[in-house]
Amino acid sequence: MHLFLTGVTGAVGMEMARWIVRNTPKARVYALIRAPSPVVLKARWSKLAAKLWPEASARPPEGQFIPVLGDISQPGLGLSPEDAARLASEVTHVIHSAANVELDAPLPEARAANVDGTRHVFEVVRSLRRLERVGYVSTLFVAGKRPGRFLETDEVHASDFVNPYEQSKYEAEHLVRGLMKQLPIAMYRLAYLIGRDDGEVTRYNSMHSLMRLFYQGHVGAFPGTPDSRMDLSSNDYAAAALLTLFLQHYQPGRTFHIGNGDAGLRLQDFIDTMTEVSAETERRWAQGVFLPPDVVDEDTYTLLRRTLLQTQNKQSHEVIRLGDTMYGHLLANQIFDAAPVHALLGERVKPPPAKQLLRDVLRHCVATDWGRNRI
Amino acid sequence: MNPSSSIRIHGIHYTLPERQVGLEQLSAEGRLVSTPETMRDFGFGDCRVSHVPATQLASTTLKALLERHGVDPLEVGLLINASVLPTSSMVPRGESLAEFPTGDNAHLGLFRFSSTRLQDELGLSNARTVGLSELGCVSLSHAVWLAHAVMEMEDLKYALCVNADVFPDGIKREVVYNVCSDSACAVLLSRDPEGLRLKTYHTLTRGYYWDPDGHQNELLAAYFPTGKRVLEKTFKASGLAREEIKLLIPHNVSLRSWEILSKFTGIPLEKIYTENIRPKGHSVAADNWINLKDVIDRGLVKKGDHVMMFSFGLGAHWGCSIVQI
Repeated sequence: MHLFLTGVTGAVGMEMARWIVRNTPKARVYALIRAPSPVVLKARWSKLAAKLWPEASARPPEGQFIPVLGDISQPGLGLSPEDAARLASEVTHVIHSAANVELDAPLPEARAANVDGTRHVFEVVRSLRRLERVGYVSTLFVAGKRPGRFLETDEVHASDFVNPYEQSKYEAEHLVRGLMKQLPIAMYRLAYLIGRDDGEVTRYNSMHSLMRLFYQGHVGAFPGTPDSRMDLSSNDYAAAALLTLFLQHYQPGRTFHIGNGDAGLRLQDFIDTMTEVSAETERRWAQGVFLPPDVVDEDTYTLLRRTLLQTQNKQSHEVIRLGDTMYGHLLANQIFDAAPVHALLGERVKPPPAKQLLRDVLRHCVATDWGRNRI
Repeated sequence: MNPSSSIRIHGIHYTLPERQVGLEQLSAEGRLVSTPETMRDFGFGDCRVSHVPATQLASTTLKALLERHGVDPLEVGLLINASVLPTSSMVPRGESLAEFPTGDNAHLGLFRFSSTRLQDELGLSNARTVGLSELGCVSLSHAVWLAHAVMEMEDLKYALCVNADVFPDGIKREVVYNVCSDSACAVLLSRDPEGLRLKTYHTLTRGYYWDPDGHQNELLAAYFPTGKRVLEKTFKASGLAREEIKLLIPHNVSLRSWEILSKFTGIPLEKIYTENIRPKGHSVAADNWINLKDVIDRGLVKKGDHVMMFSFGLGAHWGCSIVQI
């Protein structure tokens, strides 16, 4: 396999790189990395490799990973003619996982990376003469505010979106789906990734910001019901499931859901677990000074939200804005059906228990002060 | 609280300054943090502004209460003077019996206490006096609870609690999104079985929120969940169900906050007496007792009814009581 991988510096991309080294030692990976010059590209790859494989003995053999200078925001990915020619003649597999995953990025910015970026990737994909298969990495949250059970076969909906990120990914899916008749593409929708199986956080995102605000006693209420689901998963699981499906169960034209399905974390379990783990290190949680946030209905939350936005308190506004990028899913009471993938992968690749993952990730966040300190 | 207690709330009297200042004027004077529109949206209208100092408001109010109930001042065994603002608990400059000390004794100005002055002015010569502060808007409710407890221990015929607060000139009148009024309210406790019965008083202090500016967002986040739990614990301690409460007597913080707390707790807004918020504003620690007197005078409750009184004071203190009419 000669794999062209975008997004190797992202949370799932890094984990895919690790998985490939462990499981497919003969694979050759062309990893697209943004850099201003070949010198910086080399330095960035060296730094990333040292992070991915701290022990030299675990590192991939020379030549297994080939950093390629490029940028998905550029037509043709901004590849040099030499790199473009090399990819065109050698690449057999493609996984496009690069994306702007900032939930609060303005829609034009999100579209530029996630829709235009995907278009640019497929410009290159079309040029690959030995192409066998393409994997496009999407998100379960393309469901937007669509309520209820969301299936792998669900493609179009008229519901609104909770944030620009998922709208841009929804639009990108539409683009990719249009190419499926011409190219061998499978789509992989991932859960909300919050860290590695051992709790290490490699990329901090909005969920970690929410966890921090919760820990510091800034969150008073969540909208939804105690049974509203939060489909949180690990980078390791996402990478392992995606690559196993891609390499062993490839089905062009199909969409796969990689998440917890019916075992998604209940909102009340999220609150209880956060409270329990916060009490391990924060005296105010242990002593009941900070109280678990209440779960309130949409009307109550809307009134609370409007009121806090009318105050002069900037921190309150930040909490509200963060919630605005996520809480719509709690209100939609969604379950992202993952039964087909669970059936395909069976016991070989299983999602980590969500409560334990949350515990370990929060412990890591606290220990590192949300990435500010090294352990 | 002791279910067989013979202590009763014998009478309530309050004084609200006649001068009413609207939101636009407060804003023009730089005494609001938010816009008048926001404060109006939060349920506020006018605030009451006193031309006389808090000590004078307290004295007038206590005197009227004693006269109304025909109580001989010498029969009062306890006076608790509970003020929210530190400046309200000091005898103001130029108001002392002697001239304000000068020169080497200027520091004695710090010891000009209003509680003892009230004792003297009202002839409460047998009353032990206590000044109570740092309890924010639960001050008067706390004072009543303490007086109740002292009367249980001591053979006192009457106890008086008073709260009077006047905002200093120039200071903002918007406190954490509430428009504050000047006022005084006095509560008389006795052993007359016809009085109101304080059945439960549950309080919770969370010192983490001692800095209302620095910890404002955490406080805003904690206000409703904590209030809900305090309310639930009060119900539990009283053994009463929600349906058995005729009215919830609030302190006059924003109507919006009551709408939200109503949703958090499931207590219908119609059961919360919010009529005084717009015309009277938030009389810091006096609200609950002013409102209690008003609902009784307006015939909204009858003998035997239970009412719940809920208040919150910066500090932070949550207080909730159940009173049987």
